[in-house]
Amino acid sequence: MVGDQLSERILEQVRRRREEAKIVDVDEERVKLVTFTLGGNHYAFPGADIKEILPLMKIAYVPGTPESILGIINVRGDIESVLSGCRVLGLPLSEPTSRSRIVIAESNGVRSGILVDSVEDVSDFPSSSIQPPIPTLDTSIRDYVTGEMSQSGKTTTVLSVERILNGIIPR
Amino acid sequence: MTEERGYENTRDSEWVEAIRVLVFQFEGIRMGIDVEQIAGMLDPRDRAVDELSVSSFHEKLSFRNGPSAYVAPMVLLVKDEEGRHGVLIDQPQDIISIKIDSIRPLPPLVEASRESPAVWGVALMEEDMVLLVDLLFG
Repeated sequence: MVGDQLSERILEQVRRRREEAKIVDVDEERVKLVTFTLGGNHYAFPGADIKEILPLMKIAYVPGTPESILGIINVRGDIESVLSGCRVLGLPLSEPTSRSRIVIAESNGVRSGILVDSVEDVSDFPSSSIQPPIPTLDTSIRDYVTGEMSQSGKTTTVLSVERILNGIIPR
Repeated sequence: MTEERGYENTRDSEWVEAIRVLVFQFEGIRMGIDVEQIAGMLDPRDRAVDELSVSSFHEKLSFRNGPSAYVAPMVLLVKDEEGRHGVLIDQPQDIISIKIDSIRPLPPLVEASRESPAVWGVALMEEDMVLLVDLLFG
């Protein structure tokens, strides 16, 4: 009998916790993020700024462009630029693999592809899970970071598409 | 664009449906130059080249790394007022007609950040792209 009461109490506690979790999930604002990797690190873009995710394709170099611009691609008759995610963030260049992807990003009317090592997921996350960036961030990426997220022991750095694209345009 | 690029003066009075372009291969990229800008093509060993001021294509267009060696070089004689300028290109392939409808502008980030306006557009050729170059710029 004592064992039954204990198990019932435990089950009741489990049910209550699950109900509380549901209430939190419904009320809390969520943000869609596209998570990807570069140089072994995890990053994310706001999902609203990502228009398309493409497999790696032939990129035609355009002479006279900055090193961060790898070149251009033909996407169903439209010509898109492609940035090197590694070069933008000051990381060593990665060798392209079958997992490499070109993420077509757009913000404030400026649009470009960004080459990343892999796209991990497109998911909704609670806004509260994104914390402000640490003040000791590396200067090479500090201007592009809007937040950080920790999940399952890994840190994902949230980046601003607008700041990255504007950073390419000479002042 | 027509008025900025003087070589199209001959077409002011007509609607251009297509342009004829000399296509050549450079660093694995297909490049194209309107034949209206070309007065002729010479073998670099031709003595007439000695009379010209010749620049190499990779320097003229600010390629990041110049080619280690030109595979099949030829000197294009540029059709300018002086008639004494040449550009050393590599692997000329063919003269083709490119429909205006298949030409696309460069993407905004490329347009805004490039050092030289010499590359002015992109021609879509089925699965391939040809970068269109204006020899009279840069």
